[in-house]
Amino acid sequence: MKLALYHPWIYVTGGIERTLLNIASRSRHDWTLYTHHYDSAGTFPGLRDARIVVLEPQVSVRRALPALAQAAWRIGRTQLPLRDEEALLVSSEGLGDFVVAKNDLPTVCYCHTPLKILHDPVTRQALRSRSFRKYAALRFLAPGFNAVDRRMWKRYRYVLANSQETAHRIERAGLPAKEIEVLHPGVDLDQFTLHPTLPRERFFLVAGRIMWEKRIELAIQALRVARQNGTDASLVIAGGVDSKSRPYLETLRQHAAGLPVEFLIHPSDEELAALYARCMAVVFTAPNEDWGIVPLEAMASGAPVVAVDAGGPRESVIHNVTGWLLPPTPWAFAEQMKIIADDGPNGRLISRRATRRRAQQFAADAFVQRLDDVMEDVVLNGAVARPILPVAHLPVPGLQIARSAADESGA
Amino acid sequence: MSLIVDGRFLTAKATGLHRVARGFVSAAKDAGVELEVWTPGACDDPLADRAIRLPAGRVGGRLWEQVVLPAAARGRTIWSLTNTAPLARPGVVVIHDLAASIGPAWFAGSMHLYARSVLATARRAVRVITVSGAVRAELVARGVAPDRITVVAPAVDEKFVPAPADEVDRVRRSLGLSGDFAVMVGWADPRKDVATALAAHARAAAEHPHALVLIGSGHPTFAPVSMPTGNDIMVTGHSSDADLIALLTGAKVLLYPSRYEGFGLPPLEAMACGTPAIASDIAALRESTAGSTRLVAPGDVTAWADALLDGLRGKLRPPTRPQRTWRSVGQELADALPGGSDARRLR
Repeated sequence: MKLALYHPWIYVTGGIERTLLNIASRSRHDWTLYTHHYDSAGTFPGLRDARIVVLEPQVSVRRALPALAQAAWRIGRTQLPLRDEEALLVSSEGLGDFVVAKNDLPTVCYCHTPLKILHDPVTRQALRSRSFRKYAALRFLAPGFNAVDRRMWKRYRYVLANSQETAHRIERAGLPAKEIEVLHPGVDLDQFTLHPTLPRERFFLVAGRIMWEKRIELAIQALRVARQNGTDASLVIAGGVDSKSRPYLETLRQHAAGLPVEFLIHPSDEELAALYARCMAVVFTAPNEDWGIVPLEAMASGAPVVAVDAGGPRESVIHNVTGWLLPPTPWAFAEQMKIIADDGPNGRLISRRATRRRAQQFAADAFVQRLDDVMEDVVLNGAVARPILPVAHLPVPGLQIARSAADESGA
Repeated sequence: MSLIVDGRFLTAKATGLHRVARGFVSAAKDAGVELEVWTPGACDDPLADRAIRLPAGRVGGRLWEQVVLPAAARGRTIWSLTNTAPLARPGVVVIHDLAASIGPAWFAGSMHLYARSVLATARRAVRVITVSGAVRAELVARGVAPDRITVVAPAVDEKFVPAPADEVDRVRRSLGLSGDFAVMVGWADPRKDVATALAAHARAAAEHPHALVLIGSGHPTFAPVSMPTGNDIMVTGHSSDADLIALLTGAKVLLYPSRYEGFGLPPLEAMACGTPAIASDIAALRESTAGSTRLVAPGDVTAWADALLDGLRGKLRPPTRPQRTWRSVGQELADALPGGSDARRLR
């Protein structure tokens, strides 16, 4: 079956791009990826094997309000140069929705989050403290944006959310979805795997995109406090940086002055997998992550996760079993880092096999298989059959949220 | 009475459009059309015949074209060759493309007014000369009377012939090119879509290592394009004609993934240098290349990578030198310009 996927920009090595790569490489269907901005050098090399069509006029990846407004306008006016695709999957972070305006294919939404700056209270609050003027402008423009976005959402045949957190945001945003199925993006269990013979070392790892939204300074502050308390450990920060986040990287370097912090920019997948396998634990500081592929990659590699007790990690990390969910303070993180370091690189606080088993419940293959089924249902039947297994998650008030196949596979 | 040529373009930074304009003027002169080329202020260009004083200030050039030139012409017909003309009394105007109207996102915000003035000029002109049937259709769709439009396609300059081996070696050495390479011309113009060329290069390089040479430089009227980076990417900036010809000769293939063109000379220039081209499957390039190049859907990275691989492996159809000459361009211009045929007969 020939299918189209739209995502506004493919230019970095983040969780969304990893998900797109999984879809393109594992699906039984034949996908064409349409995008308004593609940087083959900045994203995963594996995406080079996918069929990608770059649309015009291309959109900026800047997140300033005028750039966002322009991007929404351009996306909304785009008619996809479809060949013989039978359905469209919109991979949406808020702006992707607008592509349905001029395209009539049966469409499914895979929602990573509704526009975060409007619908995630933590991000909104962060913007308010950074620039009240921008925050006020955003509040002024929000009703208009939301009104148009709701009209776009009415055209979705089916909505998949990447997490319970995202499903709740969709519900709070008042976006019209009769039913939302939570389908967690999966992890590549072959690429990120246990290495029982590889010795663990005395460092903590921060992985993933380096950008202010990930609040990586928390990990550096925590390391400083932990070392003051006698913890002998270092920190490795490994991830991609796009041009707009370069100043943030410099700020992090200044924060890290005098501390044993190593930066590894744009690591290859092999380097990243080796870091996961060698670290004592992965520190995940994002304040309210939509889902978070990094905790999954860590657990698949047998590394425990020290994460903020909010957002996606609440759904993936099991407190005290596969990691720890903590308040977002340097002291809480430092205390846990000390406990882990005192236990040693090959300590017994967390079972490596337990973390691996947890990750296996979110296999990329299961994720893609369920997505394939959904798309097939939409094309062949015009509607999507609910997952066979019983609903286990608590429903969002006013919504029915079905549990994903990926989530069920290890239940 | 001879035609007055609006020679403002001779004093501006040379672009591809200006090169075609120069070709048109020379070809018309050679065909016997009586022309006087007027320029704003002193100009040492051999084409220039008479200098008319330029008003001071940043908008001096536009003011000259809109006010000074028509006043000095005193009712004589003005031939404007680069999309704009005196709006009050446009005579004959050459419209090369409607890029600023069709893709405003490719240009700086200040070009919105320019886009409107090009259309207004075309609607009011005594005669419109354009470079392809594709632009003719766009003009008709925007309200220009079809009977006032004549299509005169440009030709490849005769200097585009395969460069000698030592010239190719010289540019190879200067750029540090040792193996196969592909070329793209005009990368800093957003509508040329360097992103697709880069993505195709990255994919193809995995199977067939090669370099990608990007020729061209930005222009104040273009929307910004990020400086390309990556393995085996070489950005040359603006090249001299000699370097360009040597690069086109030495390349395995020219990539021309443009989203929009009025005509599109670079694929023909590459073929004149003995190098096959891959061009976007858009109306103007379909027309100008007339089946002589591989056409690929714009933006389809996978298809571009496949075509590039074919080019690197020598699997594209061998290039043929374009047959059209500036002499035939001159004859067509003489027929299209008011009084042009008479002048030719009298000669």
